[in-house]
Amino acid sequence: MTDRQDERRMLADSVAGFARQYDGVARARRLMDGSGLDREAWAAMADLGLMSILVPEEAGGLGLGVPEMAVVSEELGRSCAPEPLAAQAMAQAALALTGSTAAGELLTRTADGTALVALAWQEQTDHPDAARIDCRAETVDGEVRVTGGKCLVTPAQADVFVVSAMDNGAPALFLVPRETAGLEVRTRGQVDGAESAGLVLNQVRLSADACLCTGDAALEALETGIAVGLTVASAELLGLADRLCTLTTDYLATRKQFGVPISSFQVLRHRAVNLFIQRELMRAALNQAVRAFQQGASRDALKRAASRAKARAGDAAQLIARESVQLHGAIGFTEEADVGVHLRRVLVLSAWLGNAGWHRRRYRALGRRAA
Amino acid sequence: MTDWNAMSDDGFRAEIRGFLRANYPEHLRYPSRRLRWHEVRDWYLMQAERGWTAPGWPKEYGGVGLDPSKQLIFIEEQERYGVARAPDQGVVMVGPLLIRYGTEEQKQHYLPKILNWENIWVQGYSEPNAGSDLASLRTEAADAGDHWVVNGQKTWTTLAQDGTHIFLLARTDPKAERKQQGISFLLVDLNTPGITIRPIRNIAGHEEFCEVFFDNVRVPKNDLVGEPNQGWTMAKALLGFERLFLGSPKQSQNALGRLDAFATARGLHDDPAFADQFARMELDVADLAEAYEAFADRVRAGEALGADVSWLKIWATETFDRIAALSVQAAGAEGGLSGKLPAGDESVDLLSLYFGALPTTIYGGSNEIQRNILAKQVLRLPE
Repeated sequence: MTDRQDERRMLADSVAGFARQYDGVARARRLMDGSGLDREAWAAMADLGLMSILVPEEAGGLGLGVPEMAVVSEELGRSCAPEPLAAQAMAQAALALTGSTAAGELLTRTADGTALVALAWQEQTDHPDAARIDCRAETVDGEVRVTGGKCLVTPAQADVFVVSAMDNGAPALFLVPRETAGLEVRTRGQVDGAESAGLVLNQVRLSADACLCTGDAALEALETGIAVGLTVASAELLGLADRLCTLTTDYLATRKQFGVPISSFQVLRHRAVNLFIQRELMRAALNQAVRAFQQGASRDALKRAASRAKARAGDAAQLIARESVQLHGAIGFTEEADVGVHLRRVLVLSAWLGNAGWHRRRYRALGRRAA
Repeated sequence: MTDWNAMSDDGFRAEIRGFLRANYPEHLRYPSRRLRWHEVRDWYLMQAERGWTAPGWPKEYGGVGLDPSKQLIFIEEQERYGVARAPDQGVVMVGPLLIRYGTEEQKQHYLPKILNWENIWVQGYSEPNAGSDLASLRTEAADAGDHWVVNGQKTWTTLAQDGTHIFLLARTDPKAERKQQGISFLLVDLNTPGITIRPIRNIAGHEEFCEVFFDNVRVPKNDLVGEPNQGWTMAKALLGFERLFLGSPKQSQNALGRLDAFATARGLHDDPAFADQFARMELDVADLAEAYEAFADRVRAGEALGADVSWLKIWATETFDRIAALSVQAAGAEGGLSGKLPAGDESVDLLSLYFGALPTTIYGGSNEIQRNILAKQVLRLPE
């Protein structure tokens, strides 16, 4: 066992400790009731250092990487924590990659939980490709003006958005504070009770230093950041799926019908095994993505590895969630049962940043390009 | 003499790869069916000359004494190159059995003849009424003083028509309390009077396995291995890390490669429905390979495999099966034609994939039995 593995186990243990103190399922239920982000839990997560993982040391963070973030995300998923940590991690990863001073200052504020940041990159709901940017930035009298639209932005309540736009034909990333004149945030509800934002930018006026980076560096920060988001989301889905498997096998073992535990019926035993297999596959797919980051793979290789992890995680978690409801019987369809709370998170995360079908296409396309 | 275990893994892999490329006959690569002994004999006799019949056996018994990590590489490289399988039950089962439980006399008599292929061993486990429920076997070995008298029937014995010897699980104590008790391990010369071998033709039209009938067959007393009535325990103990290979991704990788070649030549990748199905298969195989490596790491670290390795067998074989089914779909209206189908400058035999995949979910412990094992031993679901 290496030091880093020990470190990750300790990290997982401390997140599990947090989850014992702060009931994730209860928070997820409150979120569905419209309570919004639980600031107390969010602050506790910041205190634990969960928002410092991807923040570089020079910005006051821990300067750790995707392997650590994945461990945290998986453990939070296991507790059904509804907080937008994966979304914020994606934005943090992109910010850190820009290497700019302004990004560093913002990262410092995200690390202690005082600022929420969201990456606003997607423009078409059916086309989660970061390189397709229609937003325009132009410089007028030393001032930048950004116009365009973004969709499916989370966390919707972000204090600052990191917005991609084309500047003189080159991709660029801009910091757009929520209160900026000309920015309209239109929210709509997600099935887990959180919100997703659409941004309308109408001649949003920014100072010149709002631009974090331009050209291929901007696209690299964006695409690699999204690959981080995909991997971290896949880890969270694994945690959720693992918990659903446990809930379901526990239920099968304790529920009695016809005078016997229903786990004695072979058809149910085999279905439970099928879910176990899917969960193991999620872990295999996640491991290769994490390893790609560890090994410093090329941008295309990271994108492909992340797509592979997300394709598996999305499909497998959905299957596990649906089967968990079925194996619980009628109680599984009630609001009272925990399976449904997990299922809602699974629906949100498996669609977020592109569903399994989309990522299979991207995996294939990137493979062909490599060949 | 080369100390193979002292070589780096990469160096050893390159050595094996280079040797196969230089020496293995091209026409025997990736056979579309299990080859008969006369077809693979020259290759395996040459391996025997080099002392490479039994890479995993200890050196003192004539093996190469490779450590688990090197054995894994040896097998992976053979799979990768499409080397035809030998009638290897002597190497894989009888040798390890005798090394562990055999008498000195048995070892001296049998092990050298396994190594030089003078004896070709076949397996006598399954019976018509003892398949998944193997412990219900009824072939009986009655004590007749200085020998056993065997009566009964074995089935699904792979290539018994090429074998010289069979190792049997036979009931020596019909009154035992539990059916797993009272079973012994016997070594039997297939030339003994009273033995009849009848090949079974399979769906693909090949005679790959046989029925073996025993009618008052006399077996010398000293051809029982280990203690009487301990056969079941010994058979279970023999299940080593070989179970890993039932979950190897190689069959699926090879099948996917063939389907890809066919699909590319026929322009099928432009069909979005096919492309999505193909990508699914590609990911299923990639994730299988990743999971296989995680289990292989455990073997390399010298750990024993747990019951959880059963899921790998399920996923490997069901993935192979799905690829095979998709291949026949890809063939469209030609899916019913036997032999190779033209695909660009080449031709691809898709039906051999299909027939190759069908039994994989049945043999080596059917996938339903594997699911039973996982439910009980891994998920610990109450029965």
